[in-house]
Amino acid sequence: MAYSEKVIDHYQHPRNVGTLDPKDANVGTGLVGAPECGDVMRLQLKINPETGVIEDAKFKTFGCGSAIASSSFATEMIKGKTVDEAYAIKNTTIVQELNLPPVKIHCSVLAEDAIKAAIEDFKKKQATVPVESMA
Amino acid sequence: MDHYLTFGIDRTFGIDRERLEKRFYQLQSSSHPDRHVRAESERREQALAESSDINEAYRTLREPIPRAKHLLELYGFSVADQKSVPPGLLMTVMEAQEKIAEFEAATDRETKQEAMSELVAITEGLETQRKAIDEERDRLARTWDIAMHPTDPAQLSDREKEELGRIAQLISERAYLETLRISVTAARQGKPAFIQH
Ligand code: FES
Repeated sequence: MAYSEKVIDHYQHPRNVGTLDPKDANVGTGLVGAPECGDVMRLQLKINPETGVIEDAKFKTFGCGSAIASSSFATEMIKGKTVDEAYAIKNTTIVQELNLPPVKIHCSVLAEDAIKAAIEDFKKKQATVPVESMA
Repeated sequence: MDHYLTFGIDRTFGIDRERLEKRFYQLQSSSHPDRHVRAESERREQALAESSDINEAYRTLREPIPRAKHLLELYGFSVADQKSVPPGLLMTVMEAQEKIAEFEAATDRETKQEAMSELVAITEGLETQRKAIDEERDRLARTWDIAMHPTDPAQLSDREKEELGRIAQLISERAYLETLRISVTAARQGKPAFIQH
């Protein structure tokens, strides 16, 4: 498979690989899988609860080169964005930026799903945060 | 394209592979482009297209999983749409993959062996899960095959839709386990666990 230069770059030097503390109330974790190929991706966001700005993003992807590149690129793109901006990101942006061929579109869908799942997890956590720590 | 139609066989999950193979050679020999070298170019092109349809149909129908996916697609069910995963499955897969990474990064024997024995235990648990998935899928497929069904997806009953949906879901669950199994095997053989799709 001929990968674009950008994919190879992200694949060989993935940005933001790692883990954030999943128990931190300001960290949202999204764990998603691709039902056809069985690849998995975990994406974590550290979000400032006051401003809604994404301060940090980390991922771990066990999957194909496009999935790794998509998640690496996604973490780079969403740092500094607000939760709402990040939630609105479509996989088509990733496809265009990385020049993914049609058979690899589902790999970028995985990244979009992971962002959404992480944000939803963060929101759920915030809704249940004990009152004292909100002060 | 309905590959069952290409082969003129019933649309079922289970098929007679020997018959499929025989039929493949029959079809291929009658449409082989070489047989039409002297024919006009239009006929030759048609033979070429037929021949590639037959190849694709054969490739799809030969193996149980691609065949099942094809049957499901004919009824409008796609494994790619199966977003709901049983809770815990993704987590287990993720943890196992991290164990593999740990195993690969370990430099001393002891850590390596420890990680590997944990991996083996995880894989054995997953094998049991996979068997259960395959058994359920087999049972559903056999029940499906002995009954009559419409060919038009719009005419499927709710019950039929439910059955096909469940089979699609089982196939996707299996994909997670299968991908992990391949990674574990590669790690055990000292090959990079990078997944090539
Ligand atoms: S092939 Fe599975 S995510 Fe890319």
